Amino acid sequence: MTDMVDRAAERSTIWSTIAALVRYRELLRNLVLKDLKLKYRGSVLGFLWSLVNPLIMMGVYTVAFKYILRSKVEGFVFLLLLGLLPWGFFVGSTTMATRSMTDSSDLMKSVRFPSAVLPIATVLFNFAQYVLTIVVFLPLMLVAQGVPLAAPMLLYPVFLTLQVLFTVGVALVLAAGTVFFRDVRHLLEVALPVLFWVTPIVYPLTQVPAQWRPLILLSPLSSYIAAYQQIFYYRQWPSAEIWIVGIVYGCGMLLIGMRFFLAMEDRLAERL
Amino acid sequence: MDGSVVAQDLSKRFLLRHNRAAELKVRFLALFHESKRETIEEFWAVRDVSASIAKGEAVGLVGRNGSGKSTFLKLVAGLYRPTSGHLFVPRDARIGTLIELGVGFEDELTGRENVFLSASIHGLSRAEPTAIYPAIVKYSGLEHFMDVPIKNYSSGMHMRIGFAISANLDPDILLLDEIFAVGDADFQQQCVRTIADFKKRGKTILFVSHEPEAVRSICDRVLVLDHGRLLFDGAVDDGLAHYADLAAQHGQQPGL
Repeated sequence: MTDMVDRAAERSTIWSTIAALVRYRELLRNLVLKDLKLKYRGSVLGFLWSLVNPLIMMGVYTVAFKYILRSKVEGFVFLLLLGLLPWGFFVGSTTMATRSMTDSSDLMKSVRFPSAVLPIATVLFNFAQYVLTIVVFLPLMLVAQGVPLAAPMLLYPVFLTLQVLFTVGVALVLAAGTVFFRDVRHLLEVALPVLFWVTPIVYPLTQVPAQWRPLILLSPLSSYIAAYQQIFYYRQWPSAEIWIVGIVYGCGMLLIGMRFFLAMEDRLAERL
Repeated sequence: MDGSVVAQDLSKRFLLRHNRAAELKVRFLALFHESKRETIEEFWAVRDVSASIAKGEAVGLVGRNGSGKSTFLKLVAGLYRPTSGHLFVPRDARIGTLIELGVGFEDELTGRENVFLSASIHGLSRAEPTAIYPAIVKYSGLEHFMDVPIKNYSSGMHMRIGFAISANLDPDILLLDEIFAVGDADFQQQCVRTIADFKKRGKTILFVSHEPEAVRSICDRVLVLDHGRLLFDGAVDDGLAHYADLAAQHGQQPGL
C-alpha cells in the first residue's frame, strides 16, 4: 500500500498549502478574472468607475483639510493619494475576504480544493484594481506636482509586496474566522474607521508629535503608507523603523494567518 | 491497490450543537438563560466501517436516510476528515464526484467561461480544459448556448453542462450520489450510458442510490449501511434483499 494515502493521517502544513496553491494557480487566476469581469461587464464606464471613487474621496478630504481646517501641508492632494489608494486596497480586500468562504459554502462542501485560494483571490482582485488605479493616478500626480523622479521610488514594489503579504495574512484570519463567528464582519466594520484615523493617511507621519509617532507607526498599515509617503512625497529612503515594522508585520501576519487558517481548515467544510 | 478504496474501522463523528450561536449576542444571553445554552450531542455518521473496494469495481451503497452513505462518499472525497480508523485512497488519484452538478457556477458568466472556471476548481491546469472543451460542449449538446450567461439557462441545461464537465474530467474514482433523483428521462439515459462507459474503462465507482433497479444495473457489489454501521457486504441481490427487509421493518418502501 505504498502508493496509498490515509485520509485520517493527511495533515496540511504551510509548505503543502503553498504547493497546493501553486498547483491551483489557474483557479486563482480564474477567480480574479471572474471578479474583474463581473465588476465591469454591462457597465458603460467600466473601469472608469474605479477612478471615480478615489477622485471623490480626494475632493472631499481636500476641501475639509485644506480649505476648512487650513492644513499647511504642501501638496496635500498628492499626499492624500499615496495613502487613500493603498487604504482602499486594504478595506476592499478585508471586507470581501470575510464573505469569501461563507458565500462559497456549497462549493466547499462538495469539491476538494485548497480553500485558501478563496480569500487570497479576493486580495489579488483588489490588488489588481489598486495597481490599475495607481498606474493612472501616480504619473498624473508626479507631473501635476512637478515632482522629479528619485532613486527611493524604486523601493515601491518592495513595500507593495510587504503590504500584500500582510493583507493576505489578515484575509486568511477573517475568512476562516467568519465561518465560526459571523460577528467578524461587524467587528471589522467597527475596526476599519478607527484604523483609518490611526494610520497616516490624511496627515504625514512626520507631523505626528514625536511622543506619539512610535505608537502611530505600530498601527497595522502605518509602516506601508509612511513608506509610500517617504519615497514619493519626500523622495527619501524609508527610515529604519519603517523598514523593521513593515517587514515584521508583513511576514509575521502572513505566518499568523496561515497558521490560523491551517488550524481551522479541517473543520471548515463541516461548519459551513 | 491502484484505484481502490480501503476503509479500516472507519468512523466519523459529528458534534450536533443545539443552540449553536454564531453570534456574540446570543452567546452573551446564554450566560443568563439556560434554554439558550449550547448543548453538544455526538452523532456517529459512520461507525467502525471496514470495507475494501478494488480498482474497477462498481460498488453500491444502500441504506435509509441518515445511514451514512453520503458521509462515506465525502470521506473518500477528502471533504471530511475521519474521526478514527483509516481510509486509504490512491495518492494523486483524481476523484470525481457527480454529487455537485453545477456547483461553483457563476450566474453572470457564460457557459464557456464557467466550463473553464469549473475545470480549474477541479485542479486542472491551463492547457487541459482547452483540450477537453470541445468534448464537453458536444457532450452537453449546448453548442449554441456557450456564449450565453448561465443565468439564462434552464435548470435542465444547467445540469447538462455540469454533468458534461464532470464526465469529461476523467476521474479514477467516481462518486455518484443520487444522480437519478434529478433530470428528465433523456438526461438520465445519458447518465446511464456514461456510467457504463466509465465501468468499461475500468474506473472505480461508488454509487449511492435508493433505486434497486439502478443499483442492479450498475453495481457488482453492495454495501448496506444503517446508522453508520456496515450491515452487509456482498452480492447485489442479497444486499438489496437485506435492504428491503431493513426498510420494511421500519415501515418504509425500498423504492423510496
